[in-house]
Amino acid sequence: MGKDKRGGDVVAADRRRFLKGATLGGAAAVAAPLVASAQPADPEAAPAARSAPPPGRPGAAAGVSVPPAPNAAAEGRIEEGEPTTQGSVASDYMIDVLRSMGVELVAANPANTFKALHESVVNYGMVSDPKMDLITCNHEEISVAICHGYAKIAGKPMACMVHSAVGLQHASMALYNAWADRVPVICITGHQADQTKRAGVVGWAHSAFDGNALVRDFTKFDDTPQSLGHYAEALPRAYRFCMTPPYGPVVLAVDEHLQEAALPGDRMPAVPARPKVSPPAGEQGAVEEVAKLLVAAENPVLMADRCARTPAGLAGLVALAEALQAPVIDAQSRMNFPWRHPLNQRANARQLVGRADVILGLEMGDFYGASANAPAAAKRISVTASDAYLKSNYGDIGRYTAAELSIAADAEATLPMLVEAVKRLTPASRRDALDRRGKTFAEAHQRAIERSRIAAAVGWDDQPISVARMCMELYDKIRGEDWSLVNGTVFQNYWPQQLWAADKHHQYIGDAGAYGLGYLPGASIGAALANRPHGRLTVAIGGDGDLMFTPGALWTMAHHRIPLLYVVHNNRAYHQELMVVQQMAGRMQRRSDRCQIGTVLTDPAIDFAKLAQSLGVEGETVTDPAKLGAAYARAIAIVKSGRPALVDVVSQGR
Amino acid sequence: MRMRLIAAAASLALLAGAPAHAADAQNGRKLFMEHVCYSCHGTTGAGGGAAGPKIAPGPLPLAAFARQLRHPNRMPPYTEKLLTDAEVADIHAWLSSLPAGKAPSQIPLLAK
Repeated sequence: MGKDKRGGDVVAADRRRFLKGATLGGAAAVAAPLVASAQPADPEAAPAARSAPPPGRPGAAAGVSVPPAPNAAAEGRIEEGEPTTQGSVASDYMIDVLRSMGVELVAANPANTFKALHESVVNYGMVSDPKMDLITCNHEEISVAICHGYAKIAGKPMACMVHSAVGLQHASMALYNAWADRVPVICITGHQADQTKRAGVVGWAHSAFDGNALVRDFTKFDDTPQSLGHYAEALPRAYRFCMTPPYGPVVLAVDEHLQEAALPGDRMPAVPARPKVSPPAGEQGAVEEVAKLLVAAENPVLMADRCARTPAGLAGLVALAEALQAPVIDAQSRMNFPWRHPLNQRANARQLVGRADVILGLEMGDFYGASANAPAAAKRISVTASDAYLKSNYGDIGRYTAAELSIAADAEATLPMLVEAVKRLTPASRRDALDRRGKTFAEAHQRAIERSRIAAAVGWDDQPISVARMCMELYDKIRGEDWSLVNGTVFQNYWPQQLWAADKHHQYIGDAGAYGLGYLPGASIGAALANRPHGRLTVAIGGDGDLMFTPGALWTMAHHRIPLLYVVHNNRAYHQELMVVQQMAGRMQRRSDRCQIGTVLTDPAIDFAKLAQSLGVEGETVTDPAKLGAAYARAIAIVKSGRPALVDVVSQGR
Repeated sequence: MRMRLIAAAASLALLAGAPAHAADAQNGRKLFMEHVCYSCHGTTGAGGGAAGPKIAPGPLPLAAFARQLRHPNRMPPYTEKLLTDAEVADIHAWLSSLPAGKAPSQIPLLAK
């Protein structure tokens, strides 16, 4: 075993050489014999294919000492003119550029179009400082979702690697979720630009001339670097774009031959620095105009959806609300406003919007819907960075909202200026009136809590377990911890927002963005990874239907010892869809009971505890509400020991 | 209790011009499940948040309950084709028979 110029084992490079040309990988892998039988029948087979070693003797031609994986033996092909060993590899440099962008984690399921990057992560990135880690996944959708959840807690992107063509296809829905949720993700997909190097039918099937086109409608930027210098510009540019509000996913298709090439002169080129990004803030004159409208308003309403990208956004909105003593309606895609703040008026949204004279929408996903019942004379003001960068093919653009003023800027970055202007423009003579307004809202907030308590008590002892009880038993066990709830709560009737107390940004990160199913199992892993260094207790409540899309994430939780409590809201149905099919049956005056066909998940009822156990996660199923608290306590003890735990709560639909 | 249910059924019958019906709460529960009312309202009518309001314990008076079923604002309409007046009365009888739950003050997790 030799050493390269940076001290790496040459055997590692040999192994890379040996595997060269293997065409199968990732979730799209097909049986090895398909390749073997396809090759002889292809008279136009590339020289590389013709030079494949005999089945069963894959190492003979390469002369390597590392035993191959069994299937690789049959699949591997050696390309003529390639070195058996090399002293350096471009993929190591690519890893260094990733690390320079602050990327500490890479999520992937293996695939041969990024095998050099994979090998560099494990044999270079994971053993040299700053050390990276590779999160092993079972589906590209999970890989992207892990990045999604991670970024919302960490405030920075991690990376995923996905196979060319089929891997990116698997990843595409999760990328759309990240796009719609305005979340930064760095997605690297393999690529094989040189057609003469594509091996056989699988190699061709796993390649595309412009693979990134698949996701271009819902990524902020994509590139296909043609050289290392190009890569060294493309990745920092991708980072800059994904971290400039509105945040969003970016994709780089990295040619596998570019990955595998030796570095020029076996020397590491200069590594670019991480760009410093300043988010776009509102123009001073426009912000002053907004402040004047808000100060003069009798019934202003503040709405926020993805306003708080960071804790600063949460603090900024609190400052604005308190300066105006104005109600805040949080649309809940982030922790925009403390749940128990007296000005939190989520529960009274319809009534307040119905009499509003000025409505300020901060990074609203659906400003039209949220303000639909406002009086005709109400003035709407929109502040969103999405106005500065959006695409229109997919519907996350939302319905057009006629606004008095639209500021194409990041709301969080604009808030300090707006708060200052509001304070400056508020006459002292108005303070008493504002304080009185604030007291009215504080009383309304308390009344809403009382209403929620009464509502939660109804059906408290029901079986299946009521959703309110599922949430409150959980809160009882975590309220003394530094907890982080990492699921959206719409399907839990926003019980946490109604009855829990939360005032920290990491305590709630919203939902998937585009409501694409399969999000939470992966996203909760990412969030837990980001929470782990802070010692936080990460908790997720997810639907049974969602978990059935990506159950493989449970194995990743176990394999990587992810400290995560995963609660399954197991209503044994795609429950939302059951209700809408019922709605249709009602319209047609036909039978509701038949609407369960195709919507319920029974016969057999899924045993999520056993599913979790089979994948290495300790889990238990609870049907008796009186036993739920103890089950949560047991699960939390497991999580505190550094492992994942699952509690399957057989529960009401909503 | 039984008298009250009969009286309630009679009021619905008057509304619909049909003969009085002795409401059958057990059949009402069966119908509630068969028509999958629980998907929005919960298996005891406790409600499902935005999906469906609480309808028990303490349902609306039968006439108002029936009106809501026949001419709802949001939920699927249940006309005579799907539920007869007698069946509506049976469902109402079952919902009426459900005991009042605990007050929040009696539930430690809600009293905090």
